Amino acid sequence: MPTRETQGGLCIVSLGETPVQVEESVCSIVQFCFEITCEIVSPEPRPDFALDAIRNQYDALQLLDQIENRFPQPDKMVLATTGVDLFIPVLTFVFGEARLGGRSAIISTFRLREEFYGRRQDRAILLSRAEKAAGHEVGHMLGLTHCLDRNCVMHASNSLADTDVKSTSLCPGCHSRLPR
Amino acid sequence: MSKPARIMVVDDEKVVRESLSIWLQKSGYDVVPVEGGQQALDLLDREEWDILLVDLKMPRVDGLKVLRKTLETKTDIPVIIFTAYATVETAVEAMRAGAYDYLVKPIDPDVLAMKVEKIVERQNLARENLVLRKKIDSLCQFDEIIGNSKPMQNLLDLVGSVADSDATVLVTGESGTGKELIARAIHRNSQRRYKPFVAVSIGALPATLVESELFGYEKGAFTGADHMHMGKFELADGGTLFLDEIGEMEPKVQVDLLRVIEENSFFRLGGNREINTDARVISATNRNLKKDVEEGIFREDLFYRLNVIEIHLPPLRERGADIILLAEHFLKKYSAKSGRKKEEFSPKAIDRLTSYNWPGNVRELENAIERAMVVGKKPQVQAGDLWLDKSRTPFTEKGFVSLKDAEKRHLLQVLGETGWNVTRAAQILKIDRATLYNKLKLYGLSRPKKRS
Repeated sequence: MPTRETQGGLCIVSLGETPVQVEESVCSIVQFCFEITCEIVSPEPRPDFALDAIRNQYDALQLLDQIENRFPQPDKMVLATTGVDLFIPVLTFVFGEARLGGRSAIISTFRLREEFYGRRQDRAILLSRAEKAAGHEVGHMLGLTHCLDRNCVMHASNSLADTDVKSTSLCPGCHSRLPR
Repeated sequence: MSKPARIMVVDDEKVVRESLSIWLQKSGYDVVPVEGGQQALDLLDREEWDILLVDLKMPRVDGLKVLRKTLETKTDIPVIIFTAYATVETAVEAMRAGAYDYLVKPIDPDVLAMKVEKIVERQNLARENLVLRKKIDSLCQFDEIIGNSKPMQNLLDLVGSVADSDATVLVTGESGTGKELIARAIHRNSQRRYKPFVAVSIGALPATLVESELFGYEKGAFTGADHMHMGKFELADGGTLFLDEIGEMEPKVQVDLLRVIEENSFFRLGGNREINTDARVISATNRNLKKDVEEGIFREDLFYRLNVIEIHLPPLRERGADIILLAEHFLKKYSAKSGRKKEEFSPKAIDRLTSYNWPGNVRELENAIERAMVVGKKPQVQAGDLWLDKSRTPFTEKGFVSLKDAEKRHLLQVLGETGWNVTRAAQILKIDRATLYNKLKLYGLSRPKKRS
């Protein structure tokens, strides 16, 4: 497996519990698609400090700050996974958030679950969506912006339908824009 | 790839403007967060913006003020107002003041993304449209019409001066003289050039179809009308409707056509709704319509309606040196098309071209050149490559040509032989050079352009 030696790789940390352990599957897809080394580190507690009591959602930007403080190594990217619902102040929700060209990102499984939409729980679907959400945010950390190709993992996901249509991999154009 | 859309995000709350800016940047937009209304207005004057996203409630200069000030000078910038304190009153006020949209915080990401995408898409189309219009403008010369002869220059002057009026035009001339080309030139040089040019050949349609082609029909208007069909008058709305071979029109349709021209409205066949149309009518004929009117074949009132301006296209045989200009144009055209390179005509071929009567006019000339390109083996087009109807050469045709025409042809023949060496031509003609030059000027003859 070729690796990007110029980078300190990616570590994946869960914040609180997720309904299904997505970390391993996310880790392997990120290694495969982005060719970066990836490790899973011990879980952190549920980030209650970022809870907005009125919205009953967690502030994704505060969580990114927290992650960067908790993992200060400058050459290491950190992807957090969580089961809580995330938001940024101006939007109703986000599936995930990342610093564009930065080193922190977070994804939430909250709205990726079939149960959220009143359907039956489906572990396989959840894992597949989590892989896409993770790949997407890692792409942002590596400086990629949204792609018009609906199949590319960097296509914007503003609804679950967008997520379900796209694949877990990068289109050739986005792949060629990855830092070498 | 085109330049990303430039978006200004105005909100006094830092976390909102920054998170929104970063969120938009991820879609590749060029986003600038701005912390207040006044700063927004300052930046608006100094830089170019595609979209403004402005918070309603801000101290001092609020969102509505930014909106109003923006639209005072930059009416085409879409301004989206967003607020966490939505009321019906502010929403109505913002929309009345010209906001593109009014969104309530927190905003559904799907909704916001779609609104922004829609604006960007519309702006890209508008830009593309502008580029295409410029392209149309650049085509709006008389490039397609070739001719330096006096009658053609007069005709082009006339085309230029009538283009901008809405008057009907009747283009007359023999078959093959380029009547549709003239109609297109009028359209392209008129204010209607961005709207459609729709051509209908009345003679090519069975009489029973002319009405349904021109006026369209409603579903069920007749057996087989299984869907609504728009007529050419509707399709040409805002543009030009070119009715070729108008002299072939049946009397019944002549009445309908007269009504449309007089009232600018019509009914589809089987329809009961009056449809307005703003199509300029240009018609063409190779018949003598006036004679048809006298004989009662063509309605007199329609004739005068169609004939506000008459443009008569001279036959090719009266266009002197244009024959060679056109022949060279077609030679170039078919060289490029066929990949067989032929650069010029032999002197004998020029003689052949200029002495022929061209009953089929420019169309016949074009066909002759195309055929010569195929059959000719030498780099020069030879007289033998031009398969012309020999019975049509001037001195064997039924009527004699005028002295003027004969002189013109003779001049061209001699000049063709001498390769346009005026001194030699003058010697052959036994006249002095000044006289020859005067005659060239008189007949609008000039040396065919040299190819590089």
